[in-house]
Amino acid sequence: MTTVAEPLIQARPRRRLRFLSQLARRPSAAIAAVVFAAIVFCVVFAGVVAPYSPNSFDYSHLYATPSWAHPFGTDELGRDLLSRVMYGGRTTLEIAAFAVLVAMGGGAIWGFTAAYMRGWVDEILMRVADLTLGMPVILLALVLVAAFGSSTASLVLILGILFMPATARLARAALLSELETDYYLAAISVGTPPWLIMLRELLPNTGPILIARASLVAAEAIFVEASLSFVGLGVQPPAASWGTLLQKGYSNLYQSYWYPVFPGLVILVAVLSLNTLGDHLQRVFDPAKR
Amino acid sequence: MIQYVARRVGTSIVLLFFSSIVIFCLMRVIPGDPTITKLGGSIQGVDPRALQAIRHQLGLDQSIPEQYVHWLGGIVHGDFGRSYYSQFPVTTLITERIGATAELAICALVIALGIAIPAATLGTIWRNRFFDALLSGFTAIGLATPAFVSGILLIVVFGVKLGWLPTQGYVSFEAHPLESLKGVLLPAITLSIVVAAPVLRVLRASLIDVESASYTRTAAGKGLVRWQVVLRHVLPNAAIPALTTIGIVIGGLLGGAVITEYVFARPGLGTLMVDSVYQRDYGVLQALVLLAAAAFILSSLVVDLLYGVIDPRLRLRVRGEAR
Amino acid sequence: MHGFKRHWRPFAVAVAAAAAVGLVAAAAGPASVRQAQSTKCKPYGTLSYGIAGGGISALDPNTIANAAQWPLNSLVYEGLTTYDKNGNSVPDLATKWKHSSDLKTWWFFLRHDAHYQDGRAFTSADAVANILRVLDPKVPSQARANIKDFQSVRAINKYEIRIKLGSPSSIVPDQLFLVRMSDLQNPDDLNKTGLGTGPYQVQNFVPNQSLTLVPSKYYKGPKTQCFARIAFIREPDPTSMVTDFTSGKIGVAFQVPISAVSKVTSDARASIVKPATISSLHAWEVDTTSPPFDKPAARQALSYATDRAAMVKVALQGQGIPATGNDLVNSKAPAYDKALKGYPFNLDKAKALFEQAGVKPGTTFTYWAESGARPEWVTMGEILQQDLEKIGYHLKIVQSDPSTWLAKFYPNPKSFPGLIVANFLSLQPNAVLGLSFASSHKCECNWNNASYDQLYLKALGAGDDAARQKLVNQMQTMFSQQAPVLTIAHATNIVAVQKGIGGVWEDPRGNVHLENAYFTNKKGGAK
Repeated sequence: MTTVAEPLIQARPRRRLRFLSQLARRPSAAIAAVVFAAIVFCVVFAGVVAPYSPNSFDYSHLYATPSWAHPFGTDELGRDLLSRVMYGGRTTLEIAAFAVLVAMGGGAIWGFTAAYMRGWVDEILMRVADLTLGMPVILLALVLVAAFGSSTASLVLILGILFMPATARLARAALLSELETDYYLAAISVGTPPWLIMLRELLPNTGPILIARASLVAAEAIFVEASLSFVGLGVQPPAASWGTLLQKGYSNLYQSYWYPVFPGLVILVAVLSLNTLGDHLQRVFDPAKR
Repeated sequence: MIQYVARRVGTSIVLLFFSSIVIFCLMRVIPGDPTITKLGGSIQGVDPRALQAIRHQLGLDQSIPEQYVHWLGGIVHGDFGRSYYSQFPVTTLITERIGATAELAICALVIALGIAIPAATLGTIWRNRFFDALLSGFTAIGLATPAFVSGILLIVVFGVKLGWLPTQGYVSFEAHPLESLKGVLLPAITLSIVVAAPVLRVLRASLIDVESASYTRTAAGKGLVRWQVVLRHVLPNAAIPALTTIGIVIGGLLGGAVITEYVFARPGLGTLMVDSVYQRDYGVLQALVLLAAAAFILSSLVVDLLYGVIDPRLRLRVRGEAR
Repeated sequence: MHGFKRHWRPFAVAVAAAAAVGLVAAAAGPASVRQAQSTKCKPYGTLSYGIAGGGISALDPNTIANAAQWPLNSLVYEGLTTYDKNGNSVPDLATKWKHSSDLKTWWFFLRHDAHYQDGRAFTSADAVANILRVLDPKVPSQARANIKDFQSVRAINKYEIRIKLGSPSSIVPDQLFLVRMSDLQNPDDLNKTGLGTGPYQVQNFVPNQSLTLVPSKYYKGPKTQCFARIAFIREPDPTSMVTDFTSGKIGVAFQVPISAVSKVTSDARASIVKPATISSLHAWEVDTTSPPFDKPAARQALSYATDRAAMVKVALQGQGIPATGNDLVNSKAPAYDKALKGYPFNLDKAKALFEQAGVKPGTTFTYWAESGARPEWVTMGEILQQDLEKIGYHLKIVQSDPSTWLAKFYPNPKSFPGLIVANFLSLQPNAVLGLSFASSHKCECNWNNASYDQLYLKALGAGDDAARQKLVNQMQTMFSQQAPVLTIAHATNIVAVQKGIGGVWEDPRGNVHLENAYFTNKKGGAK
């Protein structure tokens, strides 16, 4: 609705910078940003912030309840759970971040190719996306983990691949709507080479929509990683992730009610803030969602 | 329209066919062997001939394409084969469990829609900031809570601490309707949170959209009371986008039920699915994947068709696309 | 279904009668309790038996591999012999037996009143058919390894069979224990219908989910039939099983996770059943035919690096007897060789031995555990991981789903270099048979040692206890020194029973026995 009356190409507004100014207007998004930044800070600087080493055993304090010395309590080997949650966040966020890269990168190429080529290429690529979307995520994840193991690298790949089709659909839709705009038709008509339009206009304009989607994919990746851990197929010790900590907490529920509480809360808060941020970004960048 | 439906069904069958090939190959690439798993870890000194005999009996000594053709041939004749593990027909195993999953899914859907539709409607009628914030909060937390977290929470509070409701297992509805509903309550609530949040979100957004449309203002201008406007004009029109979401949610319910069933020890298709992956029970898994894919494809087809019924404009566009 | 809680109150009178009989029997001496207990027990109520993990997928008693289905072997099936609480062979379908003086021929005499649950009489022909089936190499049976040496099995008359052996054995009744008698008329349906001679028969079976047993009207033996139904309930994981147990839905819970033991024992309404003696253990298996564990020094090094005391204290929370080093017989059992030196935790020795075996510092081993099954394995692995790290070796812990886990090292012979496989072994309570776990072509460790086999054969044929014990000691010494399998702790499957249920017991192999269980009332109390 904005483009029609405006001059061609140059005048099209870039949406990127609006993100920050709009953040201030929505307190929930601002809070989410701060909370998530705090989580990322604690996780990245776990070496400095964490009160203990995540792997130091203390057989005299097994399953301790929360106290000043151990705010989240201790686990089955007497390790400090707060420190383990901080270090465990490294694994979780690392997996989520790289999975997002894989999903976004692969999905964008997949979707853009489909949108740009149209015809039978589009048809085949989108049917393949439908095919994978039709299967339960957790089932595919189980099968893929059984096939490729549950090392950090394979989890990244598995989650990345799982979220690729949905991203591909979004990327395709975004590019298609760009291709229908007047400014694109105008650019084509004045003889600008397609690759140049792609680089200068199409990518910058679809990018933000994909970035908004990325934070939602990250939230989903944390979710699925935790689900896999829950059925016992998460990352391997001594490394921990929020998912494996939650799972261990659940299996020790009758030893210590506290054990699963904090890993569960951290997952909830992280996903909540990522979702809120993602919604906000979508509102800012995606005209259809505004 | 007919042409469109035929085309959609045709694509769906092709899709199902390819999903079956993918899952068939994938399962056989994974390390692990149903023959060995069947024997378990505590048997010592098993004769290789014993393994060979079992493998032959299960048809696993054939090549993968041969096995596939054999399996597909069976399906065409309505025979889904037998579990490699328990030797029961796959269809028996599935029908034995489909009740638990269906009950859970239906109850979860009823609860979810029972929350989402009135909540969204009331939110539009009242336009109360506090209520609005409450709904946003619920949606956000609902979307951020994994089923196993809310499930564990419910188990601890209502099952273990208060002891009000059974937390585990399944009683068939035909046998004991009341017990059965009591048993399904906690898992259904858990799953309904997962379902309600996205539906509520979409419904609210489209209610707000429709409300600002001109015909709504006209209706209000005719002198209708606010709740009448919302119920008669806004809600039916806003239902369309929500319908899509509900369709997608129903299609994915089987997948969503996996973890819920796992947490609450419900003997449904979800647990059967996890078991069959773990035990490499190829035949059972293949049938389940087909079922899940079919449910997904079918529900999206139905939604698309309903779309056309509710909104004739869309039918035209759908036709356009189909060409 | 709220199992037994609902049912036992109205029937308190009948229960008291059962309990009284139990008391009389107990006075006659603990070993005879099982046989002496009443057969007059009016069946009522439902006993719910909870199992966590995979569930029961098949009913053939001779090819089963899941410990959780063991109660079937005394409820639905019987053997010629069975074990009492101390692990001694006692009559089951056979009432008595005798042997020739050279110990190479044995005769077993069968009960005359035994019937399959469809009413067909059980005779010597059935016994012979079952034994021969187990001997058939095409049938994957764990019982076969124990009776490999049977040369001929014959029916002498309707109730007598004769077994001829290749070399003498004094413990044929123990060797026969694992062979359970099923109805072989329709062998293809065995896994689905499960027909045996025991006091209960299969009423309904949903693989991996539920199994319901009801009393067999053809059963006339000494076991009791105190329940109208016995329901096997499968739970997806141990925690949910404990939840069901604490809410009273399950009467007997098998393989209670260690983390829930304190919860169960602190509850006045429940108790933990313990076996009189233990012949099951947590062990680590390595491949003795490929580097680095093909060298005994490397296995000894690993043994010294294993802090068994800490593992029992932390991972098992005291529920077990630490292995002294490599012992298949636990240090509290009579057959244990007190002269064994063992492997006290010593990282310096471990380091020296690793270097002696040519295993360079910086080497990474893989600890191979099954996901979800026994969380304590991972805790044990994490303890080893940290200790190995101190002397410059790395341990990669991998948990995988049951099929992946199994396919890596099973069936033998299979090479799995560098892998340390955590496993739980249920050995025969008889020390000779227990130690035979390490004889050639039997364990996944691929350790084939001719002189160990010789010792085993000699011990089988030993005429008197003293001579046998001497050979058993030699086997233990050899096993300890060679360390083909690393033993960590002798422990059992933890079984929790609600107050109000009596007669549940656990055998030395860690299997639950429900065949003489009954509901008690509050006043009578469970014996």
